[in-house]
Amino acid sequence: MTELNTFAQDIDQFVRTDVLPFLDTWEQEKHYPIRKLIATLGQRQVFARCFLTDQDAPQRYQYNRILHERLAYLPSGILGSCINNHLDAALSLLANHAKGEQGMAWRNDCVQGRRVITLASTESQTGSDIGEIKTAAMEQGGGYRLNGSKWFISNATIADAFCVLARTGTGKGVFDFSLFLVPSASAGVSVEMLDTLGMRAGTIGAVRFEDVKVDASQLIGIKGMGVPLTLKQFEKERLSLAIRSRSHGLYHLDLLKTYLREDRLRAAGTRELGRIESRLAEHACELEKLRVFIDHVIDLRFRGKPVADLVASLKLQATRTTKSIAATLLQYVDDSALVEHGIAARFFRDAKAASMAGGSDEMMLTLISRTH
Amino acid sequence: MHFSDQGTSLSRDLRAFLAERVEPHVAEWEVQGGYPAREVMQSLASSVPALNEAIRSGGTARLEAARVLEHALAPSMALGIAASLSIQLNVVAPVLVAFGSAALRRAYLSPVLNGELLVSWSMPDQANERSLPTAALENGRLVVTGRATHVINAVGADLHAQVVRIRRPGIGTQPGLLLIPAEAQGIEVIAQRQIGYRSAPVCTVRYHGTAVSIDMLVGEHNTGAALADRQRRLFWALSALRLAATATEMLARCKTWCEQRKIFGAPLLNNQAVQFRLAEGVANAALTLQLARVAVEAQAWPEGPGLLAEQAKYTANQLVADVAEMTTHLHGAHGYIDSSYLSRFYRDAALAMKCIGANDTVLRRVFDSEMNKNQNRHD
Repeated sequence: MTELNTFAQDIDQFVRTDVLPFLDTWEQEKHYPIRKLIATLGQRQVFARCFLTDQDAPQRYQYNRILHERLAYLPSGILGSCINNHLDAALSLLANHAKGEQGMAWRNDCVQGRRVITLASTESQTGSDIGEIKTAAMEQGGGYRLNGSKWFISNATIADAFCVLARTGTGKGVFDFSLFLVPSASAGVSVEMLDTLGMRAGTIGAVRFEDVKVDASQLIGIKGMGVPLTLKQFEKERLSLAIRSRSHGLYHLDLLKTYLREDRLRAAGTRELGRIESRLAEHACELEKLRVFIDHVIDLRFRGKPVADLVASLKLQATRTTKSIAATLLQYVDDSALVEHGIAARFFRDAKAASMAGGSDEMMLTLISRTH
Repeated sequence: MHFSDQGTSLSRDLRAFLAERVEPHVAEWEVQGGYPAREVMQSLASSVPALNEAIRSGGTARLEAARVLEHALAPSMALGIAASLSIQLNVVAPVLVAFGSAALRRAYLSPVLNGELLVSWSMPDQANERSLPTAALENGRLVVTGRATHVINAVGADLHAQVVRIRRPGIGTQPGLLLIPAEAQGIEVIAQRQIGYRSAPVCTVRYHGTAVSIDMLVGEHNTGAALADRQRRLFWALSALRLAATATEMLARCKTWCEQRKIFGAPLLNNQAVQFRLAEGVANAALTLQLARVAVEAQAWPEGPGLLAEQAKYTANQLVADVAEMTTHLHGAHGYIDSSYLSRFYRDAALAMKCIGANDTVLRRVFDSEMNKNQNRHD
């Protein structure tokens, strides 16, 4: 427990000194120095303790959870999202399936924070429907030629490499797709930033691959295993999303408590304090319920039990709860928080993204209903 | 929505005007952080003269024209611009028609209707009334001091329509509606980009001892509170109508998207979960639209509108929260792109729910009324 506590304190210290003092400026400039922050965390051996492999010791999950909880306990949702994409979506893929010297070099550089990596599976017209992916890698001269485009990719504008899900078969079956490690500096790769409603770090983008030459050694895992590997990553991403959503909600609930203690709501003209108090209590119950559920899911995962449906339930409930807290905050805080970069407005915009990322609510409901 | 023959004709003309002169430019105005209010209003006055005629006539014709305008604005998907036009034409102009002195009408009514003068409006919720600017009577002039929040049309306004608390020796403090020329000394407009209404920003206006002739007071001295309350309710009812009409339009567009968007080889709309969610939204929007319509019409009822405006505003707040959430959600990441009309609606809805007629303000009034009803029954 002591080591975990020390780790938690280290992350808190990082947030206090490297993040919080600059957050409002980054938000206004729509630019977060994510590369620099990832480098700092890597140098402090944070990723080395947190990345998840298929045969992880239970403690690694605890480190991973602590990292996500602490990075989400902020008036911003994007930092945790960027770290999650680097660490859980992409790095853990390499940790499990990187091949050869080149693959291991990428893995080690990402663990040390020297390079940033991200998973690129979504396309503009596909959303959650992986079977409709159009990006294709055609075999040619012992390697592949990659053509297509990915859309709404986290960390796209800062990534040194993408884990690209591309079609390598002719059908729409599970085994018609493969994953490739594609450096962003490769000839034919271009990236365009997307201006989004929230999550304004300047890191979400569209990536285009035009006749990009890919060597067979850049395959992640084996050919045709792209979808199963990606789906496995989604489970990790959803668990992280749930942990972050809860923590993000908790931060803002604590903020609401501070407002109440300081009587700022009455000063802002809000008379209905009884109503706010009951809403606050309801949200506190919901967050506690989520905390217990997260403990339960992680415990089952340690023990090798299938948890896909439980993770879906968790992600669905956590993101809904957080959106509900955002709506409460928006109604009750004073006007200064409603300005575009104000805390309530930022939370309202950022909280929305969590319910879309890692599969929509409908995908979660489908997963849950199929299992039961 | 049912309109009379005149209303139907007005609706046709307004929709044609807005489709040509407003809707294609909204995205550009959002980026610029403002729309050319005077230009649009002047063009509207010359292109659709029937609107001004209806407003001048007052009574039920004016209220129908107000409903028609709010409806026609829905496809523009810009709640800020809609609020801006509504403040000028559905709130300020009718106040001048009904309560303005002959001199005020002569000086301001035509310029306001024709868009030659842009008028701002600040009408805080009742909960905030104590924070209204105050006006002290000094040598036949009212000297205004204080701060007004949630002011629509403040940027570039020629005239600020401002509810103030007028201090009268021996009588106490009473709210009154004052027209304050923008060129008067000591007025500071603070424009901060907010979460929504980017093309028609909501501002704060500070008055630092601004002196205004007492002749600029609208209505009688002892009717200020009633006038302020009446206009607040009218704006709540109109806002509810605007929100419900825009939500209805948004649901229709979302349905089209779900028909065209294919997921797992079939249109998204084929999923029963999506069908039911949209159906619930449509049903809710239809009911809210009718409640808002009656709330607007009730403003002219001899017995008074009761609590219809409050109920309509609360219901509409809940509706837009649900529809904004649902429609951005069903569009996936496409709905999260900042420049999309979906993101705009999501942002605007957040402000519309909070700005003038926040949930707790209207619920408090409904609650108070309900408590009184119970007491009456026991009596």
